[in-house]
Amino acid sequence: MLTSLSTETFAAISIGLVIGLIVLLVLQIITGLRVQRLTYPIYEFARSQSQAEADRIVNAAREEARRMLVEAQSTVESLVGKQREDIEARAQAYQKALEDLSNAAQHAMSENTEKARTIQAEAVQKIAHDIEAQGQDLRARTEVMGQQLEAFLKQSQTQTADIHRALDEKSREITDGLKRTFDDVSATGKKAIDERINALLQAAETEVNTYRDARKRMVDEHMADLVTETSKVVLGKALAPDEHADLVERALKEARSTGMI
Amino acid sequence: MELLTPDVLKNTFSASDLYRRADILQRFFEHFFFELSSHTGERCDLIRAYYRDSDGETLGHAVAVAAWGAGVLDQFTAENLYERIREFKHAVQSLPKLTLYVPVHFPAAQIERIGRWCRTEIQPDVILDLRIDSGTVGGCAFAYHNAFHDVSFTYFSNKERKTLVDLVHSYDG
Repeated sequence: MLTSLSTETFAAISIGLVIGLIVLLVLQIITGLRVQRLTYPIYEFARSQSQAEADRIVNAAREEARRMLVEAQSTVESLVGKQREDIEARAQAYQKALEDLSNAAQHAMSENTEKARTIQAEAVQKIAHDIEAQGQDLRARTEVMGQQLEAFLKQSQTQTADIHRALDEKSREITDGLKRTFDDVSATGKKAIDERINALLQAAETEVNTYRDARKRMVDEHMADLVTETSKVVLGKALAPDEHADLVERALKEARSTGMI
Repeated sequence: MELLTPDVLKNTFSASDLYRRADILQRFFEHFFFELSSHTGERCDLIRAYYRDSDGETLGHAVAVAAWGAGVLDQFTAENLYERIREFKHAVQSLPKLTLYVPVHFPAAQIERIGRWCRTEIQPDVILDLRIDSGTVGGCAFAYHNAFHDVSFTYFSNKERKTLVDLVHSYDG
């Protein structure tokens, strides 16, 4: 009974609390709507005020910027004008200086040209004078030398004729001497030459024989090699394996007996 | 244990035969250990039976291997087969070697004959390393202890060269 009552009481309290909460929630919403309705005009007013203030500040800034731009443009134009005038003045001064320098250079060049012409004319005159003087001297010397050369040629001709005569005499003497010597030698030398030829022939014959023997020996050697190689070919083809084995054993015995193994 | 026992060297005289017989041994034991389900009978009999239908040369090698006896054949197990084969081939390399250049390929009987002579006259455990060289006809050439010698027909011909030259001369007249 007590448990039944308690349950019902709890249920009633719970339902009551839920209803209370719903009522409170509805009241809260209504209150919120009212507050919003009341505060909206104030918010709108503040926003429009702020917008007006911002527009005013922007306009003032634009005005200030335009003023500064105009001022800067006029300053720049004034500076450019000044610079242009300055450059033109400098260009004129430079042009004048250039003209002055050119005039001075032309003047100096014409003076130098005149001086050079004078010096050249003087030098040409001096050289012509010197050449003429030297030509006269050369002609005089050439004449003297021609006379000396003529005298020398005459003397040379005389000497050459003397030398020719002396050479002819000497040549005759030598030829006669040689002829006499040759006649003496030819008689006694013929015998010696014959002996020498005979000796040479004998030596050549001996050499030919030696060479022939050597070649013969070489051919014999080759014949022996040929026989060896031929025999090897024949042996290789003609023998049976056991005969080869016999020869191997015989070869090994030979190696053993000669101390190879 | 020693693999190249006197029994092995007793019927094998060349290095190539030793390597060939090692391969025959390996092939047989692979069959014996890894293919046969039951291992009854003597191994030497089984080798002969295994190679019974092979060509004459292989059968000859198999018979020679079987003749090595249990002292060699029982050393091989499934676990050590490849290791022992490797050891066998390695041991062949360490044998004293006579490299013999011969003019033709010799059958087993001739190799055995030459090998026996070498074992008797040169060194008891020497092994032949046979090479074919047609230039050694009428004898042979060999390399032993790092020295090469030619005792072929050329050697004998040079030795009797004078007789040969005289013989050629005798046909001149």
